Amino acid sequence: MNESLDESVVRACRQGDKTAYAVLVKRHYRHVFAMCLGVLGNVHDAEDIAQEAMLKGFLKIKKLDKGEQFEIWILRIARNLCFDLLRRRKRIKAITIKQPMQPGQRTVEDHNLQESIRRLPQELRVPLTMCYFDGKNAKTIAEKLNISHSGACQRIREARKQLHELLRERKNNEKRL
Amino acid sequence: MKSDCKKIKDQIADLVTGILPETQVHELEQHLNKCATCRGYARALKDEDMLLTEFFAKIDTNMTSRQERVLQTVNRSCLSKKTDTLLIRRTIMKSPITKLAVAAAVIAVVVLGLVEFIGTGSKSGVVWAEVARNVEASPGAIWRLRGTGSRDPNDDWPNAYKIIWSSPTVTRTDRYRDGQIYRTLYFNLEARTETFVAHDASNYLKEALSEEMVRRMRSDKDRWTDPQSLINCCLALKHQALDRKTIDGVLCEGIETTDSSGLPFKSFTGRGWVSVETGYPVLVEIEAIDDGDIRHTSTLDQFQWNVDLSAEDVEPEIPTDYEPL
Repeated sequence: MNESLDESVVRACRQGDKTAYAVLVKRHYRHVFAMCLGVLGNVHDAEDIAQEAMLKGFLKIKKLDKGEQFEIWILRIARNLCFDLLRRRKRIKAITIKQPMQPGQRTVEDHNLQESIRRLPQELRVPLTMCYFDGKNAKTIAEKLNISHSGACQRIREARKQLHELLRERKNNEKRL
Repeated sequence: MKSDCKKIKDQIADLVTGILPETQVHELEQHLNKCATCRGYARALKDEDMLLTEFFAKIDTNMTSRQERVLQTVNRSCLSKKTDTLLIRRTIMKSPITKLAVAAAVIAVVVLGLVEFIGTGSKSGVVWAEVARNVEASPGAIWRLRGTGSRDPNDDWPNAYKIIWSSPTVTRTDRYRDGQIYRTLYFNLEARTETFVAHDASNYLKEALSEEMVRRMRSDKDRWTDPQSLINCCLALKHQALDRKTIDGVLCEGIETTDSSGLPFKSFTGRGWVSVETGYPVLVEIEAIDDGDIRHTSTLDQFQWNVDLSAEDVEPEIPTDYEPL
């Protein structure tokens, strides 16, 4: 049902209906944001890149042949933009540098959690972020990441276990200080 | 037991993330009833699960406003245009990592503001006070801007750059990647119009500028592009003279500052080079590292000074096959 809705909306967009794109934004922006958050590891970057991706999708929508593939297409655009940003920052792996407490992080706990999430390898952080942010549904995550269902489950599981170890390590380090 | 516990830990991770098949739940519960270690592990993961859920829920609370911003961007195609040339303002306001435009502005200030500090005692005879006057008196200027660490994912050194045209009444930014122009943003402050051209999408948009927008651009223009304003901004920085060197065949004298006080950087280096013969800036370079340990660089070169930039010369031509947004 959602796919055929996307198809008709994309058709309207391609005919110049700007307001139709609002439907696509409302339907898919959250998933795009979650993907960017997973790849980039921080909210500010995710906001900027997700916005850039949605705008790029709007400007290039005429190049999308099959409207029902809009979600996969826009997620791919977002992912490429994320990798462009990371490449420019000369980073290959997940962001591992320490970040100061961000505005909006009301507790040290939030900060520790964010730092531990950021330390996960990107291939684990992305599905984990999508899992908690975008609904705990491995099948959907697998489709969006274009991986198998078992592959998605494996990554989510491994991410969760590694995150636990990272949080435990932080807690033990704090006790020692 | 140990191998059971290893498998059970996997199942616990699956359980808290909602991917454990129903058929395995009973087996898991049976083991947890017998194994205190695994019960502890399960409790810890469940506690963390609550934290994760709350953590992402906090991020989620601003989703509607984010979507609204995206819709505004798409509907007006303005924010991205603003990002093109007003990247400075937007990214500074949004992120602690931004800094590129601040750095770029400071670069120019370093070049021009160093004038006052060095005075007339320079090694080569460049009169730095005159440099500032020359720049201030220039009716228009064009230069190239390249950088890394920019928040714009399309700015990738060295394949991407911007050509900036600037005068009190018109400004234009052409963005290039791999030698191809892909975006143009043009403002005519007298006529109060803006033109956005997406060459990569064969689209364009022409709109009127509001009074507020013109006012902001004039003030931003003063701050970021007006040489006199930049000089005043830079006077507080400590700096030293550099030895002469030839840049693109032009003999230059340089000045360097590493003073980051008042700037949003952990470390900052700014160098400016001025032509000994003409007394105009030839090259400005900065390198800065922000609080997130991200390295930013910015290079302004290929300056053309005293250019008469009229709207007729600067306004972009829209190809006939482009479609309006």
